[in-house]
Amino acid sequence: LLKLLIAFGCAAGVANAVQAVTTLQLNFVANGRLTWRRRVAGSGVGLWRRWGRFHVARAASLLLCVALFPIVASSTDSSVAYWSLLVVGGVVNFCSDKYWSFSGRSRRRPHHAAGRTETSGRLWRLILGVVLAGFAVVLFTDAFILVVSVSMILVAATTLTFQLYKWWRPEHNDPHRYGEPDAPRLPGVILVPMRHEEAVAGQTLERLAQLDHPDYWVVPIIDHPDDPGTAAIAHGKAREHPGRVLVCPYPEEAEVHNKPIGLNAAVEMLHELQIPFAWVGVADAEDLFHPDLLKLVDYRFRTTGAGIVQCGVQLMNFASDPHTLPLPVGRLGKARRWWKAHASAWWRVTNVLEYFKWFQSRLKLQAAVRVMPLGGNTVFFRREFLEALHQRHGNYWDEDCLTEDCKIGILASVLGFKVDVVYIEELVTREETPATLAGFIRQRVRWMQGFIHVFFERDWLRLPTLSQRVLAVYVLGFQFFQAATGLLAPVALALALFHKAPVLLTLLATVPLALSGLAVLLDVVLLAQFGQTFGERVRLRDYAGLVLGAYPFQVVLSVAAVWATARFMLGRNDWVKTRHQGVHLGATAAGSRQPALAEKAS
Amino acid sequence: MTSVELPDLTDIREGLSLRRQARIVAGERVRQHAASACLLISLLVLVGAVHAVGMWSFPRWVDDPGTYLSQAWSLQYRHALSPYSYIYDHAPAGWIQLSLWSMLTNGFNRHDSAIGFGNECMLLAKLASCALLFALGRRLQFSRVGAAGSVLLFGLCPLELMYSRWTFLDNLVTPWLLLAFVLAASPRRSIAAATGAALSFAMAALTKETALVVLPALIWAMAQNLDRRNRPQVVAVAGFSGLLLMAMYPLYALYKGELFERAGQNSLLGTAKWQLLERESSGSLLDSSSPTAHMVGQWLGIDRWLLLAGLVAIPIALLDRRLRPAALVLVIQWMVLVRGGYVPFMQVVNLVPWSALVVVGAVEIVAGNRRLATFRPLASRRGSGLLVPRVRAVTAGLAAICLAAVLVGSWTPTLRPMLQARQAPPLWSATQWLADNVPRDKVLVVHDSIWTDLVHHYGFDPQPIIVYKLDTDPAVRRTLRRLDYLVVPNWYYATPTGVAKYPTLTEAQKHAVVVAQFGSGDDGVRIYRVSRYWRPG
Repeated sequence: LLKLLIAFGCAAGVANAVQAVTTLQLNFVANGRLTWRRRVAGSGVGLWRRWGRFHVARAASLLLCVALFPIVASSTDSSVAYWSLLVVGGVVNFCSDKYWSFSGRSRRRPHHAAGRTETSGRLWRLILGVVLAGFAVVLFTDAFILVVSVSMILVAATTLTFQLYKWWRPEHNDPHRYGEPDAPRLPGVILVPMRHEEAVAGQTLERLAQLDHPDYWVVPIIDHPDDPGTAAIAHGKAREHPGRVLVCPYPEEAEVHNKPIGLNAAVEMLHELQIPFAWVGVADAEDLFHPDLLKLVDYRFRTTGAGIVQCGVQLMNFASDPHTLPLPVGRLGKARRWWKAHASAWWRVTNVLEYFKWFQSRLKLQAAVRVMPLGGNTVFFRREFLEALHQRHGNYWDEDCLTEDCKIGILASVLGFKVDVVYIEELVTREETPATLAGFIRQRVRWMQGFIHVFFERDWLRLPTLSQRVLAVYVLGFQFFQAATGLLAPVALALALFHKAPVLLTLLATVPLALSGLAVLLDVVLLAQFGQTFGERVRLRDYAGLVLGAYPFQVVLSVAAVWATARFMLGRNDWVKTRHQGVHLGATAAGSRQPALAEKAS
Repeated sequence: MTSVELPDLTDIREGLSLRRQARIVAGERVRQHAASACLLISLLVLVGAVHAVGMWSFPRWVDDPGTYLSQAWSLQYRHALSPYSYIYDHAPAGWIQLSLWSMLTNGFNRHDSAIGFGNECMLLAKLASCALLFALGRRLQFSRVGAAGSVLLFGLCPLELMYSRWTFLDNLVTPWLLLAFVLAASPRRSIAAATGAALSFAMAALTKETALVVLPALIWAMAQNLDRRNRPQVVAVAGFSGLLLMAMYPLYALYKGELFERAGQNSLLGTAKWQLLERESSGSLLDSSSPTAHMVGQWLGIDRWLLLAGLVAIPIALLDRRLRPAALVLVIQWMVLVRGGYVPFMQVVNLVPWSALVVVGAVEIVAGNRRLATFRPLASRRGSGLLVPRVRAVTAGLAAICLAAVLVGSWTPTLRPMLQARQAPPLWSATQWLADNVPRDKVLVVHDSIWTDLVHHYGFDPQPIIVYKLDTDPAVRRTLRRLDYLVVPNWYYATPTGVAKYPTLTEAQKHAVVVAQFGSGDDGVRIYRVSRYWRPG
């Protein structure tokens, strides 16, 4: 065929391509009709599926051989390399045909193992994709650097824009931008899901019962049989503050213990008892609201007409100062505490600043474009919004979602409710970072997995405008882009330098790395501002931790991203808990807590 | 006094969709600037017409435009920063811009000559500069008439007209620098504006590195416009972005292994050292026998009104807070002349726009522009409330009359020959003769300004040698076997500087005969055919 084509005046390249395609198709037909005839007859796999698999496998083996050729050829003779790789290719082709392309087993038929096979199928596809991408990198390094650099520049630039929103124009940072709250008028309810919170429950409820607002209820949600200690404290507070605190039992019949179930039950109870309310707030068990917070929320609900008011939450424990940590028991307690404080400061400080940026800038911008995942607490919902949600979905909070707060934010945008974000330094709810790096990673994995979950639920597809949908993809996938960017920026530059890429390409590959540098610089500026705002002393070593920890932090995020993706692919949806130690509360409330990030008892 | 409490307008708008908000803002802007836009467009038509009419024949062709155009051509068609090895003589952004415009619009093919394309680019740069000068005037709180006046002064000044018709990098620097100051004076004071200012300045510096001298003035202008509420972020982002863009130039050299000085190799730092320290000084303006003083004398011979008025206006302009950075730019550009280093002869391009701005600013201050003058000793005195405005109106009227008198009396006679020149440039005629009479395989030594045409339009191969490279580029010297034709203006052989700078050319001319001749005097061109038996040494 090849000779014939060339004889008829066909260009060598075209002739070769025609020849290759023909050979491939003949090969496929021969495999199906002759070699694997019996298997194919009994298989549930369709023709086109087989055809697709066959081509993917052939392409992969071709890429493998082409990629290996320069490596093998450099150590041996080129003809040796050619023939040995031909043999290797033949073996790979045979195996892929036998076990994959023309395998007799259908993946759909055995029903009992469906879930398992489906997930491992996903995983295999992922691995295959990664391997193919790896070969593509080796073969087309320049194109790879180009694509990666451009996308990283996009991500880095948008990240910077998002995080700078508060300072974009001076008005965005005006001290009087939220107005002066007047006398509150709307009745409301604060829901406080609690589980094993003996250490902090009393203090939290006491504080919540004494906020500056004439007409509101505090509703702790407690599983009575499971957690009698906390229940006793709550009932005590209810007796102390009649007309203010009302205990809601966690539904007994629920097998699973998580936050959305409790919240839904509480709202149902409010309806049954016919308690009047115009808004519902959510607090975590250790959240000490500022006394003036409700006044402001009330005011913002009335002046902005928003369906949701999200107030600031701020992690506080950035410092490497060991005195902020409890003294561990045992030998060398002080030294161990010193070491622990210093060894963890690098990620804590970045995590603290993430919140600082998130609530001040990102959420504001996302509220402006009306696509936003919410925070889990210090968030207030207007009654009309909850009713609309109930009407639409038969439920208030999604009981199966890992990040129900993210989902409810997206749904608010879909339903056309506006979100108002308020960050006033004095009024923020102070929280703490996870106690250990492992805990931090687990928390991130949960969030990222939740975001993937929300993404695949496709509610965002119902957003009214295209720009909102694009932004939704960006917002939900953001953490993955960010992790990839942080990790790849130096890699791309190193690759460009060692690969001797064209100078222009190398310059382009420098830009994302430089933008990461700008992000670190801005973090340093922010840390100084953070210290000023909250009256915390920022020491030189905190700055050093921030700068030196910037890249390792990206590595940590990437690990979390990979783990979250793998978990999603494997279909594992059980919770990964975060443990807190109560550092931000000062000496009064030290102790462990297992917050509303509940767990599945399956 | 009663006051009406209005609800916060931005809050009400926040309720609307982003698209609707954008439309409202755009509509507001159009209404707000309609009058200025109409005025500006008529100004641009006038200035553009004056610039464009006669720009092919006047002024004479000089070497720098040819160099930059050959480099722009080389970037587009050869993907290299120069047809010869790039020697880091200037940062490359200037001809990269020319090249991009040509790539977008097929520039080198639309014109018979590369010089024509360069002229077009300069016209565009001039129009952009005029528009930006108007905007800057308005942002510095000039009246509309004042801003228009500065555009007229800048656009119609014969000295500026002459120098802005030449394809010089400085003419591309002007709009970038003006843009930087316009953005630095942004009333919104956003991060975007400050970053834009820093990036524009970086572009100016990458276009021609001499722009760096006005950095203090830009920093002053930006510092004046900072807001306490977003200052740290603005400074960090703007400063970093500007530095990053400028750093691309040394990084380029670094990645090519040409940053540090090494024997037998071009390097950025080596050239910079030569430019700053070793290049022959032109002397200080204060020394009346120096080349610089001679050069300034030539400028003043073309037009003395604007430059001197600018000098006079500096002290008055310093009275106003917002005008001070602009005045500082002018001071710095004059200081370059006084300093006593090497001064390129197109330095005047950097003086004129700022002179125009400062002159008009001074007039506005004297005429009592309330938004402008922060220094008002007379106005603050009680009782003179009626007298002062009258005095100021009279002064303003006088200033306007003076301007008109200068325009009519001095500039019109100077401008007329610039607009009416129709004679074909001798180098252009020489190019035509070469195309008609010389086989394409002959080795030509040519003036910079015709090199691109000979290569691009007429396909001379081997490519002609730019006369300057004959004695300076080792690669050219290595491959040089013979020379067939010499095509440069007569002053290359006639003046002592020419003879000293181009020894090979001078030697070749001794073994050559004139085969054609165009024009006369120093700028005329004689085409020499070199003897077949002579070999370059």
